[in-house]
Amino acid sequence: MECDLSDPAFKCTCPSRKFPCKHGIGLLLIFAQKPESFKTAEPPAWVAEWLEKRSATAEKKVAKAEAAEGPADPETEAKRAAAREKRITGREDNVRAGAAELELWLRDIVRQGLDAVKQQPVSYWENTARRMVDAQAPGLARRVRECGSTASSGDGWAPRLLAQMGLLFLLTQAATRLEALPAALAEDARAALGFTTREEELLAGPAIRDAWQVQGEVIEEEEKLRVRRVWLRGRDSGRAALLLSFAAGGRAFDLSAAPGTEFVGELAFFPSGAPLRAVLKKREANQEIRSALGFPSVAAGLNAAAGALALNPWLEQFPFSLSAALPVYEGGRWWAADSAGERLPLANRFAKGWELMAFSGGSPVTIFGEWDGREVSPLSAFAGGARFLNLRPAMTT
Amino acid sequence: MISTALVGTARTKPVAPIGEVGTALAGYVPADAESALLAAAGTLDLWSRAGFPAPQRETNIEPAGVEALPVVNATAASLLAASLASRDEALVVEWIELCAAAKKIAAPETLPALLDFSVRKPAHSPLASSVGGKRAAWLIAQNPAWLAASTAAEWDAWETAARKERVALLKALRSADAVRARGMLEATWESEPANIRAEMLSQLRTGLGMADEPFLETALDDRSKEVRAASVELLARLPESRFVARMIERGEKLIAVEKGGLLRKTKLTLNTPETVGADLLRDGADAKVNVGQLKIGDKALALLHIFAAIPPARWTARFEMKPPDFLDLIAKTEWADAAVLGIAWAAARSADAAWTAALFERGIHVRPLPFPLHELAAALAEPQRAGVVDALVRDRSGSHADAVVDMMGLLECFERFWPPSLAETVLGRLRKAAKGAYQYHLAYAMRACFDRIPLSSAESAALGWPEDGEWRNTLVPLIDRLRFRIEMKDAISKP
Repeated sequence: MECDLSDPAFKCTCPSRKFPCKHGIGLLLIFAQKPESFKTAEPPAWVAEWLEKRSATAEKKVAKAEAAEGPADPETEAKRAAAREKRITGREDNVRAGAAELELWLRDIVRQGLDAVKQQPVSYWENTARRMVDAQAPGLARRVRECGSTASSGDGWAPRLLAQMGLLFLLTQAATRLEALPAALAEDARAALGFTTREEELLAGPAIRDAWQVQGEVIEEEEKLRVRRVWLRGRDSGRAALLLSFAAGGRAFDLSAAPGTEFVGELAFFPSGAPLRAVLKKREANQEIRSALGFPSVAAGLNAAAGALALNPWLEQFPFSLSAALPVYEGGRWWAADSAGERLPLANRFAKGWELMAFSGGSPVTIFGEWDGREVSPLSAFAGGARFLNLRPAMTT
Repeated sequence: MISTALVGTARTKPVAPIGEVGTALAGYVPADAESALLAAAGTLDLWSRAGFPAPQRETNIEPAGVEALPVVNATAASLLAASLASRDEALVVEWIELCAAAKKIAAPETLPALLDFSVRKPAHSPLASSVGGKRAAWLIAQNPAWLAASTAAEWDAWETAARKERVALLKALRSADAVRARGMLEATWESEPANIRAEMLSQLRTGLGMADEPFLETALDDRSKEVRAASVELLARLPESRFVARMIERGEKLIAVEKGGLLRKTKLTLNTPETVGADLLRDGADAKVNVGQLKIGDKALALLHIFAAIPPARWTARFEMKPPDFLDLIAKTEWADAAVLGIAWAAARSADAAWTAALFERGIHVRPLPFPLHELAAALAEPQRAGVVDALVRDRSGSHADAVVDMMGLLECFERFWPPSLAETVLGRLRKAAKGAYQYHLAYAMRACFDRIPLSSAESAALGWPEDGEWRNTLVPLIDRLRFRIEMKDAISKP
């Protein structure tokens, strides 16, 4: 039985089909609770061998990505490129056709009036969403489903739905003229439509090395798929980053990068006008966050958020970390106020307001959350003395 | 724009966007009115999300004071959070006690749930505030909802609560202000139905005092037999009451002791009342309570009730005799059963440890009489009580399962946890019982037993159970809970 704490990773001689097996989890639990019962020693041969193999695999992964980009035999290279080209064009044609169909559908709704669709059953939206999945545009499908839930969301549904449909319409417009858009904007449109970039390609490209603070995480369920968003911010570069991971069915997530910790590592960013999403290329030392990074004021954060939205109009959540913030309950809702008294509304469904209040004790803390342009959904808070409070909501569907 | 969208562009003409959104869309040539509306809606949304007008207001929150005591570590905090979330009251209380004993305070982020707990369980509210530190007081000032746990709200509830709830409420109110609570009961007394009256009257046991005596005395004339019995039960616990004085007068007429000397043995004669008259009946001498299945005549029954109302210390003083000697003499008389049963009840009612010990010494617990064992044991002080109960459980004949199940009443007379030696004895019998077949009533008793294992015995109590078999499903959660408690103790003690 062996455990690598850096990821963490497990290997065991037992025949369990569950991974990690109970022995691995048990060993880790003992280590977490009674670290004093472990002593540091030279790894025995079988452990050393495993560790070596692991680092070799990691190197191979990067090397493979590099090799895939590097020049191979020119003839096969050309053949491969042609095949990929064909595949991508085929998909682009499909997405374009789907977007055109969706555009027509949206215009049709507006012609009949929103009141008419409010009465529609879930299947009305679901059918269109499925057609978008068939058209290989999962991004459009997800947004159609969101429109459906907005239509039945009660008070204020109409302006919310119209705004969502408006954005969706703009996305269909972008989808039909991707070539005409500036390169970065086209990339963001592609990402919003649901095109994926191969991680191998990213790993082969440039990466940014920094001490990354893991500021918060959220896990949501989307169509039988669980999605984990982990928000990072680099201590030297000041850049924000988003690590997305997915787990289907009952499968476990890669749960590395625990909120409240920071690590030195390299991130490769997806192409975007306002790059946020990234993949982890390399990770080293792990430690608790000593002092959390954040915007000095509400105004500074809003400026940065507006800047990011101007570059990527399909950005849905902006990582907003506000330093020296006070949680305030006023007028039936929670706010995060900066030192000048400017405040941001916290999400209506945020259920841990009093925990946050108790945590701050009326003294400024750093509050981190996802800003959607209207409210912040808090995910964590940091106070002096390396105190960290995870405010991740119970899993939402 | 919204109204156009609601009705549909088929019926209304959309208004062209103006201002910055209009400027932004100036170069866009829409295919039709629908496209124009949708593009404007999308752009407007982006525009408003990029330009959120953050309100600015003064915030004047006084920060909470600096704590004098250290805060528990993160593990201890998460264990409290888990106990609160699972609504396991006993675990929460134990956590708080351990924390208070370690001179520490709860982690701030666990305080809201802890304050909610205080509101839900006002009885534990002072305990909970002992580990809240200055932060808890500060939080209560921020959220007045946590002030609602005050008793003021309960006094109002008396007027509105349903009958069954009012019985429980009365008990709570009695411990807060006994006189005021009785006054409220008296005010509505006549309008309550008989069964509720009896139940409510019994609640006066909480905070019982001579101030209640006049009211209880009038209750002896109640129409309902249950109410009269409840009144007797309480009056017998008031040694200064007129009721007890009457019983003493009657009792002393029935008993005569001829003191022995060097060569003569002391002689005790005991008679039943000659007649059971109206005055005796008013004092409940015919009530078939506290006698169980015992076959007993009217006069013997009256004797029992008379003895049950006389504090036994009276006999010790009057005849200058030690309790065991007095009991031995009583045992030789014709009316031994009724008299000893009466004395046992009296010892329980007056919580007389010396007499209780003597009764156990004389083996009342092995006699097939309905002795109030539970109440008697409760009257004993530690470590005497533990010793008595321990011996009872250990020496009980019959199967291990029956021994424990039969003794449950006695085992539950301890406030919370058993003394370690007693826990060891009970667990010893339970371990042997767990080797046998599954029995529903034993499983039930087992759960009750595990709740009473003191933390100091938890470590050993978790060991020595069968690894598999029919009892596994019952035992696993019980043992897990013991481990949880040990973990709690360890976590709180660590910095």
